[in-house]
Amino acid sequence: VTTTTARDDATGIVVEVGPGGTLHSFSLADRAMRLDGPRLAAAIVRLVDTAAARADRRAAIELGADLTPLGLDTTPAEAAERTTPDTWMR
Amino acid sequence: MRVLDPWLDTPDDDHPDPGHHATATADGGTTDPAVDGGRPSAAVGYADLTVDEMVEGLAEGPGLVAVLDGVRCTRGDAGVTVTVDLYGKLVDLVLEPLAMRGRAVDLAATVHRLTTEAAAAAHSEAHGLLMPHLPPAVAPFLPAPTVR
Repeated sequence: VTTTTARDDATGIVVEVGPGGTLHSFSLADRAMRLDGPRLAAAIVRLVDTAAARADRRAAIELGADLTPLGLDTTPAEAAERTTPDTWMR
Repeated sequence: MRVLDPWLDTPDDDHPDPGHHATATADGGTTDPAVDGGRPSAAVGYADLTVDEMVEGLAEGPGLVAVLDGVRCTRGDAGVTVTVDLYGKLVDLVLEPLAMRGRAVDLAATVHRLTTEAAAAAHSEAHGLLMPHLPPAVAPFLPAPTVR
């Protein structure tokens, strides 16, 4: 399964997701705990969303199909990159 | 354009006249719900369909995609509540003060565990919703829900 990893160095969040956003791995640096719960939660969900968009796009390219009708976000890679934090990895 | 929706329709759908669904199939033949219940035979040749055609066929189902898109599963423990969608993607996360008192590594493990559990539940629910709508020739190939 092709996975995509994204990280936010500012908060120390690292997520690895597959197409659709299935979480394969997840880690938090100690500095992540400096945020309050709602802000940390929002940052995690946002990073998962960004990584999932990228993973969906990669899957669509590999399958050679438009998966949008199935609800998968196949936003062009360029648009996905625009929503990606500067700390985007891979 | 080939239309692939007859096996996705149910008797109480928008078309009371079953003859309305006599539809061209992928191998150039037709299916007629009045004769075979709308499910094409295994000879239809699904292997000949492109991914785009299969996706298109599913998308044309009577709201099936919308139903699947609405699948959500929630799990909670130790001040953490996660909600995932059909694909197991984390769509909502609540971290209560209790969750923020521990170590980061423990919080990450809890979030990961709950998300995995919720994703398995979402997969199981989606499996149950989808199975009745799959053609007999394809249904056996849909992976059964598993817990990772």
